[in-house]
Amino acid sequence: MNGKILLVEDDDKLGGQIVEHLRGAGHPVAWLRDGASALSAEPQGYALLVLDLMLPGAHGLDVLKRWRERSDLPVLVLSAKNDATTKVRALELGADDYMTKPFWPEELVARVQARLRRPVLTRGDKLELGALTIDVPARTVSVEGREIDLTPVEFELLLALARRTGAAVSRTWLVDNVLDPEREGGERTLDVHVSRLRKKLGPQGARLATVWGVGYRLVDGVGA
Amino acid sequence: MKLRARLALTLVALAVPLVAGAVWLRIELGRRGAVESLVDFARVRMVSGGKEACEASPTTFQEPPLQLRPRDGGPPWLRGPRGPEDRGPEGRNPEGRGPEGRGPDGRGLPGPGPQGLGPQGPEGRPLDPVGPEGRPLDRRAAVAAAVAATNPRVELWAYGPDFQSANPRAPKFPADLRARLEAGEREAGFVTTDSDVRVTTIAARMDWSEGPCAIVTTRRLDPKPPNEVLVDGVSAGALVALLVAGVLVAVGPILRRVRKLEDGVRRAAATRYHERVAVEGADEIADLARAFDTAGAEVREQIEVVEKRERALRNFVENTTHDVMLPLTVLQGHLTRMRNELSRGATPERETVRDALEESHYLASLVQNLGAAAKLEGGEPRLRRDPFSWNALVERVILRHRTIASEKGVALDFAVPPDDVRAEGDVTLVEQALSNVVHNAVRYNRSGGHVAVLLESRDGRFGVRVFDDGPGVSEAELARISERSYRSDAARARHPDGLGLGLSIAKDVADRHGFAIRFGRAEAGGLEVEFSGAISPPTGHVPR
Repeated sequence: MNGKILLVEDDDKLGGQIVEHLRGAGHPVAWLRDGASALSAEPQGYALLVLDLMLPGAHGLDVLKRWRERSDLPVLVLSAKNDATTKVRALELGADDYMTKPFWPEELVARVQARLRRPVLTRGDKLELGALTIDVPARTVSVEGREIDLTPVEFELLLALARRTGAAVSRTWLVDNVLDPEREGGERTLDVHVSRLRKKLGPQGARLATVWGVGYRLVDGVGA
Repeated sequence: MKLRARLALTLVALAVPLVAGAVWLRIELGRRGAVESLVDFARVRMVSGGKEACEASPTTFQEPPLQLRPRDGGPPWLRGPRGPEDRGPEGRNPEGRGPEGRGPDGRGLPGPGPQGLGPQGPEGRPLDPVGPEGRPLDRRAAVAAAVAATNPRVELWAYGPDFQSANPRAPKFPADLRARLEAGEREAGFVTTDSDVRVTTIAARMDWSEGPCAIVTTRRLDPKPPNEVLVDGVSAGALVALLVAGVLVAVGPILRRVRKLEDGVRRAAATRYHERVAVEGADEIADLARAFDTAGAEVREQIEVVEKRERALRNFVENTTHDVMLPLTVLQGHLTRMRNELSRGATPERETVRDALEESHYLASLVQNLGAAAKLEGGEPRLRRDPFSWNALVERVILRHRTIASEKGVALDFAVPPDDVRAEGDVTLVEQALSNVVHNAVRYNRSGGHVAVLLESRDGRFGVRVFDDGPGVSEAELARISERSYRSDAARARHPDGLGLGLSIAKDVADRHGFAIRFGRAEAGGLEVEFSGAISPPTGHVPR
C-alpha cells in the first residue's frame, strides 16, 4: 500500500480535490483544515505532509518548523505566494518541495510520488529491477535468473540507467561517463551499444526507452 | 536655545571660573610676595646691625625704637592680640582696645609709635589716636590719618629660641607662626586684611640659633588697597563681556550661512529633493551642505523607485485586468460549449476540454508573468541571490507543464546529471524564465511533437537547453526575440507565433542574472533556447 499522506489545507474545495486525486493515485489521506491542529498533530504514521501556508490558527511556516523539529518526514508546501522570499524561507525551514497555485492535480500527484518513490531495491550489492537483476561486484546481469553475457561497456551502460531507473539520462552524460572516448567513440557508438543491449536483454530490452532529444531511460516495472 | 545664546552661555560658563581662578592666583601670589619680601627685610635688618643692637640691649630692642607720645597709641589695628582682660565688659572692646593693651601675659603686641609702630601707653595701654587739635579722632578718621601718615609701617621684634622675648613690650609670639617654625620651617608668614589695613606678619629663624635674637617677627601694615577681588572681577568681567561680544559678532557670518543652508534644505524638501542643496566653500558647513545634498539625492532616488513601483503596480493591475479577461472569456466559451453539449446529452468533445485546460494553463502562466514583469519593471534594486539547484528547478518546470503537454499530445521530457548543478539567483524568476520557454515550446507545438529539456555541466558552467520539433521561427523573428522588451506593447500581445511576454521575460531574467541566453533553430526544426552561466561552488544548504 502507498504511504499515508497528511494534507493541511483550509480551503474546502481545493482540499477536497487534492484528497480525491491523491486517493485516486492510491494514497490514503488524512486532512486537517487549520494550522493549530497541524501544530499538535503527531508525524507518526505518515509518509508525507502536504502543507498549505496561509492557514487559520497558525502560519504554515510555523507548522513546518514545528514538524521539522520532530520529524524528517518529506514536506511538500503548497502556496499561492510565488515570491522568492517565502519560497526560499520555506525551503530553508526544511520543505522538500514547493508548489505554487494554481497547479495541475496530476502535477501534485507526480511530485508526491517523486518524493515517495522507493529507491531501487538493493540487496547487498545487487540491484533488483523486476525480472532484471544486476550484481555489481560480480559484474553480471541476469533476466529471470538467467545470466546474460554483456560486454563491459554494455554492463556499465545498463548500470548507469538502472541506478536512475525511471529518469532519462542524456546521451552526452552517457558518452562522457560510460564510454571510453578514445576506444568507444561518440553518440553513434552509444546507439549501437544500446541496440545490442536491448537484443541481449530480450523482452526486458523494451525497458530501454529512447527519449526524444534527450537520451535513454530504463523504464520501471515493465515485465516485472 | 539659539546658537548665539548657547555660545554666549558657554563662554560665560567657561570664563567665570577661569577668571575667578586667575584673580585668586594673582592675590595669592601677591600675598606670598609680601611675606617673602618682609622676611628678606627682617634678615637684612638683623645682619646689618640689628643683631648687635638686639644682643646689646635685648630688653628694649625693637625696630623701630620706641618713641611714644601720650595718647598717640596709633591706630587700633596696630595693637597686638589681647587677652580677655583687654576687652570690655562684654569681652570685646568696640574699638578693639583693652584696658591694659596687653594679652594674657600682659604683653600685648604694641601699636606703632610715631613711625607707625603701635603706640601704647607706658603701661602698655593702647593710646587713642588724636587729631591735629588733640581731640580724639573717630576710628575711621584715625585709620585714614594713620595710614596716610605712615605708609607703610613696619615693626620688628626679637625672640629667643624659646619664642620668648626679653623685651617685655614684645607681643606674644603668634601661635600659628610658632607652630610652623616648630614644625621645621625656617620662616613663615601670613597676610590678613580687615576693613582698614592689610597686615603682613612673618616670623623667621636667623642664621644663628642661640641668643635672645634667634627668631624675629616682623609686621608690616599697609593701607588696605582697593578691593582686589572687586577690581579684578570688574576687569575680568569687562574682558569676558568683550570676548563674548567679539565671538558673537564673529559667528554672525557663520549663522547666516547656516540659515542659508536651512533655507536650501527646506526648498529641496519642498521640491521632493529635485532642487539640490547648494554647496559653498570648503569648510564644515560646506561638508554639511554636501551631506544634505547627498542625502537629498538618495531620498530623490528612493522616491523615484517608489514611484516607479507604483507605476508598475498600476500597470500590473491594468494589464492583468486587460490580459486576463481575454483568456477568461475564451475559457468561459469552452466551458459553455461543454455545458451545452452535456445538456444535449452529448459527450463534450475532447478538443474542447483540452482547449479549456490549455486556456486555464495559459491564464495561470500569464498572471505569473505579469507578476514577474511588475517585479522587473518595478526596478527591484537588487535581485535575490539565493543558491538553487538547477536539477530540482528543471524537474519542477517539467512537472508543471507535463499535464498540458500530455493533453496536447506533446512528449515533454528532460534529463539532468546525477550530481546537483548549482547556481545563484532569484529562484522564482529563474523558474519563471525556464517555465516560459518550456510553455512556449509546448503551447505552439503540434500533437505528436516533442519538447526536451537538457541540463548539462561542463568546465564550471551550466547549460540548460530547451528545444522542440515544432514549427520554429523565422530568422527575422529570431533576431527580434533578443531585441524585444516586455516593456513594449508586445508585453500584452498574444502572439500567434508564441513569441510574446514569456520569452521577453526569460531574456530579461537571464540578463539580470548574468546568464547567457541564446535563441536558435533546433536540429529538429523547432526553436532552441539555451541558458548558460557559471556554476556556484557547492557551499551550504541548497534547497532542492
